[in-house]
Amino acid sequence: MTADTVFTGLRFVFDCSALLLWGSAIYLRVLVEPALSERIWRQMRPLRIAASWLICAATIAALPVRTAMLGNGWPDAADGAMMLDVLFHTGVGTAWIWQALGALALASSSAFSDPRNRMMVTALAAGFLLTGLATIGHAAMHAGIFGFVHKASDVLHLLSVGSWVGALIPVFLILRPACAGIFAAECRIALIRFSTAGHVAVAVALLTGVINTLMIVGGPPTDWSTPYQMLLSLKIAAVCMMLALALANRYLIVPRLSRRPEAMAWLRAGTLAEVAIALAVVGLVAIFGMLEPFP
Amino acid sequence: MSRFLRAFPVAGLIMLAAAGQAFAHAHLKASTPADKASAAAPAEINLGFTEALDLKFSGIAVVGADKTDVALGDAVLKDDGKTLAAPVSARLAPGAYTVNWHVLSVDGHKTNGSFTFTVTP
Repeated sequence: MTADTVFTGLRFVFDCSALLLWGSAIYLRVLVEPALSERIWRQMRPLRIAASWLICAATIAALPVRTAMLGNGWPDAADGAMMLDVLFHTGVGTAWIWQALGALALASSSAFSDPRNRMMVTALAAGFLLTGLATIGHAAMHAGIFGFVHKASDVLHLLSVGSWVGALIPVFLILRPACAGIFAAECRIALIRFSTAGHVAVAVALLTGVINTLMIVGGPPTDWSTPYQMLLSLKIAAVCMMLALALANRYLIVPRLSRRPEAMAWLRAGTLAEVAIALAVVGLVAIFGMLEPFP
Repeated sequence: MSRFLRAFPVAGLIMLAAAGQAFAHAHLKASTPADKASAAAPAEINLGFTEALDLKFSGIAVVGADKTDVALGDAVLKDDGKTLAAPVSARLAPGAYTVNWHVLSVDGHKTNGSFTFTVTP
C-alpha cells in the first residue's frame, strides 16, 4: 500500500472525527438547554472518546506517512532527519504542527469536569482542527487576495458542514421517545433551533462549496475524464441527496410528528441516512482532495 | 432565505469571472534554458513554476548525453518562492542535456518533469 493511500485513510478518519466533535459539541453547548445537553453529551461518551482517540492517532501517524510521501516512499517514513525537514521546512510540516496543537487541546478537554465547559473546549479545539485543514492543500493554492478569499471560504465550508452533519448525531439521540418523554419541552426547543440554525448552516455550506469549486476548477466540474472532477461531481450528487433528505425530514415528516406515531421513526431513519451519505461525502473528499484538478 | 438563494447565481458568476482557471499543483511555466533550446553554455538553470515551492523537497538534476550528472551548486528560491534556480558549477561542453526536476509546492503537492536543451559549440 502506498503512503498516499494510507494518508487518504488518515484524512477520512480525521475529518469525520473533527466534523462530528465540532458539530455535536457546538450544537449541544449553544442551542440545547443545559439539562438535556448534558444527558445527550453523556450518551455520546463512547463516540466522543473514540473520535478524540482517532484524531490523536491519525495526527501522530500523519507525520511519518507525510514524510514517506514527500520523500521517496516507505523507507523514508522512519528517517528522522527527513521528518525534521518536513516538520520545519515545508508547508505540510507547519500545518502538522498546528494540527498537533489542536489535538493536544482536544485531549486536554477531559481535564474539565463540568460537562458544559467540556463541550465548549471540545467545540473550540475541533473547530480549530477544521480551520487548520484549509492551510494546506487546494485551499492554499492561491496567494494574495484570492488566497484569503479561498481559505476563508474553505474554513466557513468546513465549519458550516460540521455544524450541520455533526449535530445530526445529537439530534438523532434527542429524537428517541425515551428522551422526549423526560424532556418534552427541551427536546422541542432543541429541534426547532436545529432546524433554524440548520437552514443557515446548509445555505453557507452550499454557497462556500460553490465558491471553492469555482476557485479550484474555475467552473462546474464537467470534465469527467479527470478523476478529480468526476469525484467532485459524485460529491455534489451525494450532497443533493443529503439536501433532499434534510428538506423531506423538515417539511414532509416534521409537520406529521403530532398526528402520525410512526413519523418519529421516519425522522430518525432519515437523519441516519443523512449521516451515512455524509460519511460517503467525506470519503470522496479524502480521495479527490489529493488529486490534480486538471488533466 | 429566499434572498440568500437568489444571491447564489450572482455570487457564482462574480467568482467565476474573477477566479478564472488556476493550477492546484506546481507546473513548470518557463525555464532558462528553455525546453529544446540551442544556446551557449548556461551559467544557471532557472525554472519558473505556477506556485510557490518548498526548497527542502525540490531539486534539479542535469544529465549529459553520456548519462553523466552535471555538477550544480545549491539550489535557491527566487520570485516569491516560485522560481527554483541552481548555478552550473563548470562550463558545459557542447552537446545535448536533460534537466530533471522535482518540486513540492507549499500547499503540499509533489510534481516532477524533465526537458532537454542543447549547448552549441
